[in-house]
Formats: sequence, structure tokens, C-alpha cells
Amino acid sequence: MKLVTALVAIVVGVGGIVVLFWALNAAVDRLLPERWRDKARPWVFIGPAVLIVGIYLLYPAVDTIRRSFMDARSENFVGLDNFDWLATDSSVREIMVNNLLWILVVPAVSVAVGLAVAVLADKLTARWENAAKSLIFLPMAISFVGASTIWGFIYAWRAEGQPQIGLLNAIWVKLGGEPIAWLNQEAYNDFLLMVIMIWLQAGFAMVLLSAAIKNVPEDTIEAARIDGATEIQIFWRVVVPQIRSSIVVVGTTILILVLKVFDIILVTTGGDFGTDVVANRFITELFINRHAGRATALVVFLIVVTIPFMIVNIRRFRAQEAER
Amino acid sequence: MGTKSKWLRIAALTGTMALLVAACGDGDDGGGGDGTGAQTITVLHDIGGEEEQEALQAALDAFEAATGHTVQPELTDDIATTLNIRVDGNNPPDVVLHPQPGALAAFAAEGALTPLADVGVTDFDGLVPGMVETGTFDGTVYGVVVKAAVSSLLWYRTDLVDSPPTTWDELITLSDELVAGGTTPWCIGIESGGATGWVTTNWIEDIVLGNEGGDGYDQWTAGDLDFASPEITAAFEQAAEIFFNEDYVVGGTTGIVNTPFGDAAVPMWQDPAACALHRQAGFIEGSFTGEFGTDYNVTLFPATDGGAVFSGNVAAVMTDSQAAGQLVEFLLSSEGQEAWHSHPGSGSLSVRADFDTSQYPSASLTGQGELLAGASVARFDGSDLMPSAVGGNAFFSELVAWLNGQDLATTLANIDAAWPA
Repeated sequence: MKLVTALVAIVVGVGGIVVLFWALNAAVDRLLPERWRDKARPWVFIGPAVLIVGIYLLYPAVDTIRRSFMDARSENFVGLDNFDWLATDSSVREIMVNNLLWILVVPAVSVAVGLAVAVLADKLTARWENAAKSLIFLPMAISFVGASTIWGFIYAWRAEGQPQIGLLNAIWVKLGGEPIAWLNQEAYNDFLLMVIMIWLQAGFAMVLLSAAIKNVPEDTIEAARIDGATEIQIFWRVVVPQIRSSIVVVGTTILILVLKVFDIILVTTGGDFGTDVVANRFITELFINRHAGRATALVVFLIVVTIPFMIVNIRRFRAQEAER
Repeated sequence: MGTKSKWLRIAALTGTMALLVAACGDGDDGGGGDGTGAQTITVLHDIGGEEEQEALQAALDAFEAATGHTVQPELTDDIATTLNIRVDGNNPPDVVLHPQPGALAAFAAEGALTPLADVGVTDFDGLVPGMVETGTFDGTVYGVVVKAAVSSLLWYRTDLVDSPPTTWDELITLSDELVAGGTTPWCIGIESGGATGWVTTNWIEDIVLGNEGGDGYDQWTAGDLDFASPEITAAFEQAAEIFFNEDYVVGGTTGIVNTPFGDAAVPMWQDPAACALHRQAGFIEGSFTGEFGTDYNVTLFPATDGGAVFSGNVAAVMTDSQAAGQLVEFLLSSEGQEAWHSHPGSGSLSVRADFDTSQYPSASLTGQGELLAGASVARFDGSDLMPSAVGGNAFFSELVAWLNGQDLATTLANIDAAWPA
């Protein structure tokens, strides 16, 4: 019965949209005077999309900002109290520092690894290039939660004398060490979690950067070679400048992803051992502490931090489009 | 095309829109209702586990047979989140079986709960003391515990422990003897994903109940006694005697924070036993491989000084459905309790004082039922009574930080700071 309902819904839904646009178009043809038609037609077609984006994206965004100035249950305005908490609470400071580390490390390392693989794979024969790239790209197909679970096993710890089910500790103990609870080590556990994201995102960086490298005109490289440049000089002075906009686009895309990361932390440490980040804390504040004011203040903070990167990204993207 | 075709098209368009609206507006038609006759009652709960669900279903089936109403149980593994969303979205279940009275207290304060008297539930005779009090907020009964489990249980291997300890001092003496005999006494594991640490909150609760009695415990869970107070600080320090003694615990504090709570007692059943003692509610028995009574036994955790901390599910009504009231009444009745807790899958205890303990499906549950009935004082799990910012978050996450090296003063101050103003 559910299947039938679902099928009917799909048919009615998709069919309905087709009929809707067809009817709106017909209405423009039939009902409007001729000189208005061409002006009205784009609006008729883009209108539903604008409306839906407005309702489901813009309105919640505005409402989020409004609630960030209100109390726990969004009932009374409390001025800047939530932002005061954001600026002064010591546990929030910890997550801000963590997020900053994630921002600094993950996009840079992902791009570096992706770029290195792209360049090196470019030197291989086509068959091996594809094999190497597929392998690096494979983790992209795994969800964050799945990847975090996998890495949770890699970092797993068992008491000394018990069989070590964690890959890292199994190796470590074989080499003669005492088992280490990797994710409890506040000095470096953040970086161990970042590895998960880098593992996931390096493939994405590699694919886009590889495409960019292949677009670098061969004659510029030939010219450099004739002038006696080494391969390393060619890479830094000829290739990188020509793919810079791709690097920035890939970097900012990963960066925005990093700002939203919460699943890795939720699955591996739950935010314990000093690993919490803004997006995970937002969930804690909203659903466990039931403090909508603080939760939305965290979101507003994230939005504000994201905006400059979005602007850079869009500018670069435009510049790249203009180059073509 | 002429005018006729134009109007046809407009008619077609209108029809399409109507269909779309109809398709989107396929809302739920169950629940609530003020009429008489057979109704559908939605029940949100977190009672997972196949066997436990079967036991619950047995009680619901009995209710359906007795009244003709239909019950739609809905299982969630994250009841706090699910219920908040349902309430905020104006789509509450008729009945919730909630494991956290503290969360219900917040809902009651918001007006999201219906006083049980308003849906005809007024008779609470014959219940174990504490069951009604748990769901009473500001003098109004909003919920009653319908399923209980003793949390303050000490499981011990009979081949390693001759006579079970009855006081904290005896417990420490026993631990020292076990160490001298070459066995690490304790298996403790508190890893539980995003809720890591809740197991250790139970230790603190037992110690507070034992040291401060029911009144002190109530003050503490109500927020009138700070975590940084000398009484509660002393409770943490008392627990530290075991937690931080590397000779006492398998794997030390690293073992405590990294071992999943469900696997914690596994070393107890290795050959030779890696530990002899484990403090956990009855569910942990599922991971034991020995026989109850011969290989292992159970007693109240000595820190409680004869008292018992229990957990369970509180039934509360969130709509004005009279049928929902009937369901709660039935679940509390001898008939409902019997259908539920004598079921082989139940694994939990009845809240009725007149429940015949021989009806429990296992000797272990009979023993636990007698421990609950014989407790000098019984209180609901404290972390579930506190606001969820504390009991569902800071209390256990700060315990984890403490076990991972944070100093006690900071730990207690952080928990106090999390208490909502």
C-alpha cells in the first residue's frame, strides 16, 4: 500500500510540476498582452524555485538570527546575552580553537594531498593513473558516519594484555609499545580526527585538481622546459599559477564543509577529550540542553564566519569562468 | 485554439494544484480525539531490544483486548531529540514512556503535559513508594513509573567473593583482598558514544544516596545542593578511591573511559576471571556467561547504605485523549503489570508493591525485585531527574574529563555552571 502511495505521489508530483509549468506558460501566452509576455516568462519559470528557496532557506535563516537574540525557549528577547556567552564561556573557547585548527589544517592538507596525487598520477601510464586515482577517490563514496566508525576501529584501544582490535594499537603493541588510547590524547587527538576528513576529501581535491592540471596548455610547459627549468620549477612557477583558481575553489569548498563538520566528532568521541566543535555543540545546545538562543547564536557565528569564504569562492569561480 | 481550450487549460491547472495540495496534506489521522468508542493511541518510547519490546507489546495487546482501542507504539533510540521535535512541531504522541523524569518536568513547566487527573487517572494505590513521586512536578501528578530497574546493583563472582560486602569499608577491604589474591577487583566501562560517562553518574548517585539519605539526594537532584558543596565533593572523592586506583580497575582510568559499557563485564568471564566485581543495572546480566546463583550473584551496591537508586520509564500523557488515560491506568494495574513484567522478555521490574515476585521470568529478576522492595529508601536515577543540560550532558561529560585528567574542582564547577539559570 505504501509503495502504491509512493508511486502515485511520484507520478502526481512530477507530472504535476510538468503540467504546472506548461499551464503557467500557456497562461502567459493566453492571458497577458503580447508586450508583457517576454518580460513575464522568466519570472513565471523561476518564480516557484525562488518561492521555495525563500520559504525553506531564507525564512529559516532570518528566523535563526532572530532567535539568537532570544532566551532558551525563544520567548523573550535577551539582547546580546547569547553572544556574550559565546565570547566568554571557556568551553566555547575550546571549540572555537578546535574549529580554527580544523580550518587551518584540513583544507590545506586535503588540497596538498590531492594535488600531489594528481601530479604524480599524471606521470603514470593511463591504466595505473586510473587505478591510483580510483583508490584515492574511493573514500568519497563513504558517508562521514561510516568513515568515522571505520577510523574508530583503527584508533580503538583495549587494556594491555587484551587482544588489540584497533589497527594502530595492534601495530604499536607488536612493535613493543604499550597500547595508547589515541583519541584520549588531548595534545593531538584533534589531528587524528582531522585525518578522517582528509582521507574523505583528498579524493575530491584530486579529481578537480587533476582536471585543472590536464587543462594547463602543454606549450607553456614545453617553453619552460626549453628554457631549462627543472620539473619542480615547472610545477611551482608554471603549473600552480595556472590552476590557482581551482586550488582556491577546492580549498574553500572543503573549508565550508569543515565548518559544518559534526558527524566525525559525534561518532568518535562525542565531543569528549577536548575535541568538540561548533556544529556538534550546536546540536548539544539545541537538543540536549534545549537552549535555542545559544544554539542559534552558534549558527549565526558559523554563518558570519562562512560568508567571507563564500565571497572569495564566488569571486574566484567567476574569475575562472572569465579565463575560459 | 479558442477560448474554450483556454478555460480547459486553466481548469486542468486548478485540478493539478488541488491534487498537489491533497498529496502534500496527507497528515496523520490517528491519536487524540475526544469522542468515545475505539480510538488510536500513539505511544512514543525508547524501550529497544527485541525481547523487551515483545514484553511491552504483550501489555499493549492486553490493553487492546480489554478496551478495543488501538495502540500504535513508536520506538525511538533518541527520545530526547524525537520528543522535542514532536512537541515543537505540535505533533506530540498521546502517551510517552520517558526514561528521564527531568525532561518531563521541563515539558510540564511548558504546559506540554496533561495532568493525569484530567484524563481520569487518580488511583495510585499499591505502588512501590517513589513511583508516583517521580512524575509529580509542583504538586501535580503528570506521570507514573510503569517499568523499573534497580540501578544500584553489585554483581560478584561467587568463586572469588565469599560474602558480599554491605558497607563501603567492607567493599574497599574486599577490593584489597582481591588485589592481594592476584585478581583485579573491578571491571568498569563507561564508553557510550555521545553519552559516554553516564555509567559513572550512577556511582555518584549511589554514594550520595548512601551518605546524605533521601532528603539530601532530593536537594541535590533539585539543584539546591551544588556539586561543589562539601557533601557532593566528598561523594566524588569517595568514588575516586576506586576509579583512580590503578590496581583496582581493569585498564585503569583509560580502561574506564574507553570500554563500551555493554562489554565492560566481559573480562569478568574470561578464564581466569580478569575481575570479580561489576556495578551495573540488571541489563548487564545479558553479557554474563555463568549461571545466576552458582557462578555469580547480586546484591545492592554497598555505597547506598541499604537504599536503592532505580531507573525506568515514566508514562505521561501529552494530549487530552481520555483513551490515553485509560492506557496509563491499565499499565499501572495488576493486570497490565503482570502482562508486562511476567513476560519472559521483560527484564525489568514491576512498580506494584503487591506484585508476586515469583512471577518474574528469572531467579535473578526475582532477587532484584526483592532488593527493590526491601530497600530502605528508593530514588529515581538522579541524572535523569536533573535538567538535561546537567543530567543529560555536563554531569557525565565532565566525569569523563575528570577521569581523563581534569582536576576535581574544575569538574564540579563546570557541572554547576551548566545548571540552567
